[in-house]
Parts: sequence; C-alpha cells; structure tokens
Amino acid sequence: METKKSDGILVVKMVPRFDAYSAKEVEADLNESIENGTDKILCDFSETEYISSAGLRVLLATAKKLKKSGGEIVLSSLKPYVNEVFETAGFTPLFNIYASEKEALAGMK
Amino acid sequence: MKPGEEKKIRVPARLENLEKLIDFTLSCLRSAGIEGETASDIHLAVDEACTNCISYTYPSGSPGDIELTCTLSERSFVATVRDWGITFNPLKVGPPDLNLDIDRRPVGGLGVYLMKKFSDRLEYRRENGSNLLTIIKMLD
Repeated sequence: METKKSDGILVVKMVPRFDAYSAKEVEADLNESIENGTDKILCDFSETEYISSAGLRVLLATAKKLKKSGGEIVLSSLKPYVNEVFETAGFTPLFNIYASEKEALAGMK
Repeated sequence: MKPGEEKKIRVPARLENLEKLIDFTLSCLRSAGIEGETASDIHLAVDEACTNCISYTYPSGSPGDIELTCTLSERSFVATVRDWGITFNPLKVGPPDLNLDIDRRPVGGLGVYLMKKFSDRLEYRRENGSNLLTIIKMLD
C-alpha cells in the first residue's frame, strides 16, 4: 500500500478492491504501523471502488485499537458506492469522514 | 450472456481464489450488459457469499471446491454458490445491531446482512451434501 507521513499523520492510499483477499494485507500493514508507534491514520479512499464486510471489519478493528491508545483513524474521499455500503452497515456515525484528504488533514490538526 | 444462458466456474475454496470468482462474476455482468449500481450490488452479494463459504464451510483440513453459477433470465440475474462443506445456512444468521457505539460494536458479522440488503432474494438449501445459496437480483 502506498503511504506517506504528513505532520505525524500516516496517510494510507486504500486499495481499489477492499475485499477479504486484500483486507488481510491491509490489516497487516496497519497493524505494523500501529506497532511502530503510529497513532493517527488517515485512510484515503479516492481510488477505492469497492468495499465488502471484510474491509469494514479491518476499519472497525483498527478504530478500536487506536481509540484504546488515544489515537484516531479518519477516512476521506469515499466514492458513492463505498459510502452506500458504509451507510447500510451503520458505519457512518462511527467514523470521522471528510470529503477530501486536504480537509481531513486540516481537521486532524 | 443472453437470457437463458448459464456460466459456471469451480475452484478450490481458498481466499486467493476470491479474485477469480469475482472477476468471473464481473465478466458475466459485463457480457450481460448489467452495469452501475445493479452490477455493484451483485458483486457485493456474490463476494460475501463466496467469502463466507471460503471462511466457514471447510473448517479443517484441505478445503474442497466452491462452484459459482451465473444465470441470466429476461428479468433477473441469478448467482448460485455451491460448496460441499459443513452445513451453513446464512439465512439463519441474525441481524447485527447497527446502533451500538464503537466500543460495543462487534468486529465482523456484517457479511450476511450486506448480502441480504444488496440482493432482492436469497434462497438456501442443503442438497446431496452441499450448501446451495441462490442470490437473485431483479433487472429493471
């Protein structure tokens, strides 16, 4: 996964197809970052066309982990279909979701 | 695909074959001229069905196969997922509580719910030692 650091925030470009197969790798990468001390993560969904329950599962597990350690996970740039899956699963109220990466970074400061 | 046509793929029920099953579904949808939200809904429902099968129905030892059949009719697209594992009826899985806050929300348990929400009808039956799950999406 493509990542960059911006003012202590890890910005992660999420995969195009976030299903059970890719979720394994995404979860391993996120867990590794958290173990290495990252406590603020911005997941950029601008290239994600698709998410399944396996992707939602990774996001919720990561959010719980970061909340416990005083950190946070923020999402940005959800495409309409990904947003619809979020709404259906009742995930929208659980996350801070911004329209763009820029707005998310400003909101996290 | 033309109405009345049926296409089938059978692969070992392993996570690394999920892409194959989904690519097969997407190519069936494309050749049937189904796109947009209807195609995405079918993609999600088939993915959840296959992922469940891969994750739960072959709990021990080497996994058996998963067979996915896509059928186009005049008014509907039907995807049937068959496996030869332990009995698993996803229609018996209760709905999740979507009002819980982040601390009390269980991790997982959304797959069957999404499958129900994004399809028009689901049917399950146990047949000759196999689980047969049929996902029906109406075309309009």
